[in-house]
Order: sequence, then structure tokens, then C-alpha cells
Amino acid sequence: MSANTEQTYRNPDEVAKVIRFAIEHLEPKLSEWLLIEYSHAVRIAGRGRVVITNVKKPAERRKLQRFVRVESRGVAELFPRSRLLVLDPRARKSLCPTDVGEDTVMVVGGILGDDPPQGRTEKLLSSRLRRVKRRNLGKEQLSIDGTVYVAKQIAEGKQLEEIPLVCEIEIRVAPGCSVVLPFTYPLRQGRPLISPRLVAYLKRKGVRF
Amino acid sequence: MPVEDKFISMGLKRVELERYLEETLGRAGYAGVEIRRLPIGTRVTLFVERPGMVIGRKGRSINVLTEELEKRFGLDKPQVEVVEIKNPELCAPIMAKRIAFAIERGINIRRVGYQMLRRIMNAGARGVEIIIAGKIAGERKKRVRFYQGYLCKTGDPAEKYLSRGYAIAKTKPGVIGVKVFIMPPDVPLPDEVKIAEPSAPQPSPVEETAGGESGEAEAQ
Repeated sequence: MSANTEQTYRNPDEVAKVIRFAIEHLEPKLSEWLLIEYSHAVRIAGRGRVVITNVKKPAERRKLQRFVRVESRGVAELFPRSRLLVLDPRARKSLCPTDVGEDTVMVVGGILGDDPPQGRTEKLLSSRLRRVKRRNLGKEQLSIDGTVYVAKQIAEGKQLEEIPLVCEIEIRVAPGCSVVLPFTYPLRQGRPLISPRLVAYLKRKGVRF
Repeated sequence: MPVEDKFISMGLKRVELERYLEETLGRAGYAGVEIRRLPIGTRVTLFVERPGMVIGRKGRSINVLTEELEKRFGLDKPQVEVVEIKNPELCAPIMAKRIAFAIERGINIRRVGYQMLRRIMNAGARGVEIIIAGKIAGERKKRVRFYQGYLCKTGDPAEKYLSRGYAIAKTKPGVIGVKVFIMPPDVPLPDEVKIAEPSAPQPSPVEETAGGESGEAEAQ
């Protein structure tokens, strides 16, 4: 993105206002799994409302530019700190509707988690963003698209406790074989919110290490 | 020393011993140990796939092991007994190690999972579950579960009869954990009630004696 865009972000004009989520890419490589989660997160939040930041490699930027606004710089360079709100499971306070202002940009860590959680959002993101508001979405570890969904619901006025969540989901990939994902997923209409593309990916390549 | 500390130190000692046995007897197909205190000493029963490897030529290896158990782990007069596992397919620790070994050699996980599942079920197991878990770069941590048949996970039968095994496969992308649960055949489950066949009616001796003896007694 050009310097023009940076100026646009800094000024509270129309474009800057519509950006609600910044996903800070923190994984060393952009895998297929990560790409699927990013694209699903963009679909949930709306194409113009998300920016993926800290994408250093041009090849990865090209892949992401097909469906979302991409930045090579980190979120700290793009937005004033007063506008940022980092979603970190290790934050002391939980996110509530009053935390999200009109021009707040919620920062999500672009991380594919481990079990038990390694606290990488804190290590790689929160520790670098001093004097920035930090909020959690419960103690459990959510997926990237799940985080965007829950944060969006809260920004629209729901309380965290009102959003149904499910810990650990199991996807049957073949007869007598299933893949268990030990993460928390929000429930939408009683079903876990997971990208159908990810389910297809797991059926295709899930039984692989 | 508080009583809790004593139990903790005993538990730690046991873990250390098991780790040592796993390292030294890994190639012999080590599957577990049972330690019993007797008035004449400590009986250590080793369950292995290949007992010959534990005993060694002229019992040399077993003598070394006995000495080590006495000196290093402070067991009182250990008497080592080696028991051969007749059906290794029904022994979860052995199967877990076999799966881990296959993964380390680079065999496809799905293939290994199904192959072992089939082997265990063909050996007559009631049920089996194999869990392979790990995280590789570019993916989330996940667990792959293979399952077939009936398996108790909680309660008395699970405590008593379920065979549990765990092994680690060290691969280039990272460490992969393998857990195996096997429900052996002929396990008496509490919800399986067998109704005994009624036996053939026999002439009751009470009637006979009642007619004869009591009659005589009355006459006298």
C-alpha cells in the first residue's frame, strides 16, 4: 500500500472509519490453513472492514490482495495507538460493547495456535504495543475467524456471556477417523462457526503431520 | 516428612524407574512393570515382547538389571521376573511404540492408523482408539483419532481392564504424540448380564424322608 493509504488511515475520514479489524500476520509463512482462516474472517467482517498487516513477503501479499486490503507494515505504524484495541487471551479485562468506539480498530493476532496455548499473541503483539488497550474474549483460545466473529458481535452490542461458544470440535474425515481441533469456536444457529473450506481441507489433508 | 511428601517421592521414584526401564528395555518390547513388596524382598515383574533380550546370555543382562535396580533405585533385594506377552497386538504400550516408530520412518499417518486398527481388531480386541497429536508449522495443533469397536473410558472396567499406551515420535517437523487404548476380549462388563440355564429338576430328598422317617417316628 502507498503512503497515501497510510495518511487515509491516520485521518478519521470515511476509509479509516470503516476499518474495524487489523489482523497482524505473525506466522513465519502463509500456509493454506492460514489463508482459509483469513478469507473466512474477511467474509465475516466484510471486505472493506479488514486490513491484514505485517505481511513482509511480496508473494504472500499478492495472494492476500485478491480478497483483502494488505499492508507490509505493522499495525503500530499504520494506526495511532489511541485507536487500537488488542484482542489478547492473556489480557486482564474482557471485551465489552463500551470498549469499542466508532473509530476503534480491533487488532487480532494472525497466529495458528497450539495446545496448551503458548501465549504468542502477548509475546509477539501485545508486548510490542505499549499503552494500547488490551481485552480478552474469554480464557479459551479462539480461531482467527472466530475471534473476528465474537468481536463483531460485541461491537454490535452483545455481551461476551451472551455469545455461545464450544470448546474443542471433532470433524469426521473418513469412516473410523476424525480430526479434533482443541480450540474454541463460536456457535451460530447451534453449529460451530468454521469455514467449509477448512473442513474440506481437513478432509483432504488433515490426516498429515 | 509429611505423609503427602512421602507419596509424592514414591510416585516420582516409580516414574524414574519406569523411564529407566523404557530406555533400557525399549528394544525388547517393554510393556510395563509390576512391583510387589514381599517379606523376602521386592518382586519386580517385567512384561516384555522378547524375554530373551532382557535375560541375556547366561542371565548376564538380568543380573546387571537387578544390580542397577538395587543400587540406583534402592529396591530391597529385587527378584526380577520376566513375563512374555503372548499377544502383543492387544498390548497398548507396544502398539503405541510401533505406531511411533512407523511415523518416524515417514509412513503416512492415515495408513499407519488404519493398519494398526485392523491388526488390533483382528487380534480379537473389543474396541480400540488411536490418537495421534501434534503441531506442525503452518497448521494448528490437532489430534487425529482412529476408532473402532466398543471401548470403556470411565468406570471400573476402564480402570481394571483397559490397556493404555503412550509413545513419542520425533520427526523433522516436530514431536508427535501417540496414545493407544485397547479394550481386550472377554472382559466382563457390568451391563452384560448372563442368565444361567435352569438345571433339570431333581427329586427333593425332603419329601422322601418326610414320608418314611416321620411316619416311623410317629408309630414309635
